[in-house]
Amino acid sequence: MAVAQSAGTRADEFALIRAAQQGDQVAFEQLVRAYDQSVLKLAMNLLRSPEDASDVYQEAFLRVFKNLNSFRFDCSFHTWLYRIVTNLCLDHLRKRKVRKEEAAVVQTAEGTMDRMDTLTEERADGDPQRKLLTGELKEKIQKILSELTPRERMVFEMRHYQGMRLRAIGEVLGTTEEAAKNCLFRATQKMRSALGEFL
Amino acid sequence: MSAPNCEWVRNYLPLFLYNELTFEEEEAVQTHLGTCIECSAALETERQMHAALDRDDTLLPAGLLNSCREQLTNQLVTERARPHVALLGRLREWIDGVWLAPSRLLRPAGALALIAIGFLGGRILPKQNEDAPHAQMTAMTEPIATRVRRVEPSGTGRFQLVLDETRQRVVSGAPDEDQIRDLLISAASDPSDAGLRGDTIEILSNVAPCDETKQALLQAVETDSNDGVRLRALQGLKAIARQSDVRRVLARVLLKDPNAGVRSQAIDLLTESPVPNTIRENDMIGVFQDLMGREQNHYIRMRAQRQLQQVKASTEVY
Repeated sequence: MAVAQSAGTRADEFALIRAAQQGDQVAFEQLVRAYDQSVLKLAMNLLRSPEDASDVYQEAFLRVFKNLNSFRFDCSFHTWLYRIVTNLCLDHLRKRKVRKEEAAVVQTAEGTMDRMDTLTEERADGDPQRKLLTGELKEKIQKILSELTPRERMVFEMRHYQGMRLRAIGEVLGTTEEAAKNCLFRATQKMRSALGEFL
Repeated sequence: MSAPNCEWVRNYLPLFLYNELTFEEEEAVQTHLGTCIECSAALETERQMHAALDRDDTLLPAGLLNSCREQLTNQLVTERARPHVALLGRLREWIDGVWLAPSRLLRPAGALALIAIGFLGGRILPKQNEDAPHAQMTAMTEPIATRVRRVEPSGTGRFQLVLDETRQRVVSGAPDEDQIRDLLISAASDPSDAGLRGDTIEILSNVAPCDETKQALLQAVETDSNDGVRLRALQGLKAIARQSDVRRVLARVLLKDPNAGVRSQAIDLLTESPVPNTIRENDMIGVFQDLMGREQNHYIRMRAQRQLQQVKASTEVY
């Protein structure tokens, strides 16, 4: 989603937040609708499990609902929301690591598969040609992404797939732009060396 | 800053592609790239990596966003009800205390309080949707299909039958109304009826695109098994073909779709709606080069070749 907002959009959002803080349900719903698709996509990309992504979605917006009155416009609403979402995703990723659980992986007749691949196959009717073209590279990318540290992965997802600037990512993760830049640098270095044979 | 060496430039290439360098750093990288063939080749490799990663960008599974929204709405209803329940509970306790108090004089006060509760309840509790909805529904019809789910004896020679019944309901409204749009989006991914999917995708293609319809069109164009449905969805994307997420999906369709007609339309959309002077647009170079190595269709090859020549990029992959 586009992070840069025009002055008009910012003013609209300010009014929406103010209204939602005063109990306006429609305003709250509009706020949710403005961000929920990108929130769900970030959670889905990071956790690669519809169930976990859905949990993060529910928990994040419930926290927003419960704590909206304490939002004092010290940062943008986007930054505040993404702070909540990334913390929830980091918790999920860390728990998964501690439990050594591969929640994003499922067993199928064809062996161990990324859960996302099984979803895609349901929709794509299992076209063998498509699978052949993308399968190996997709598998490799998934492997590399899963080997990044949760923080590297988070920065990469927000920069590459969500199009957020490093300055904004730093604000979300409570760190500096420079630290976010280093994180992105490490992530791309790892990917470059691992994907070398495919390029 | 002093002239950078190759190692420095290559380290900075990812940030260069993400447009995250300072003005001076970017100038230094640009200047170096203009004179160093090896680093230019490294930049091309870096671009290919970006394109490969773009291709892995996932679409949300069908219906997930809607089910999340529905679940959240239910949870919010529960959350909103909580303080009211607590408030009414406290009031009731107070009224009970007053009502059961030994003094008969307090009873009229209790009655007044009950009236106040009724009045306040009406004011505080969430209203039913009093505004006339735009979408109109007719009453449900008689069941058009009935299936016996379970049979249980209920004693004295009688039986209890549990039935599953399918009923029809007619809903009418404009496609840009929330309820109608949600139903159309749901129908657009009905796996059992390609005709229905095609019709609904066509309707969605003609309404002003919002996030939900865009997502439905993107999903149809990339995953629908029916060629006609994918072609109609591509038509619907025409107005938003400059958006980067749409372009990423179009690039994947161009490289993977088994139908040459669909691929032709995808390349038309990509080349007729260019996004000039951006780093992201340069990612398409890798896609077109990749295409040159695998595409058999003459028209598509010609379009890709012309596009590469326009930006002075190689038409071959080494």
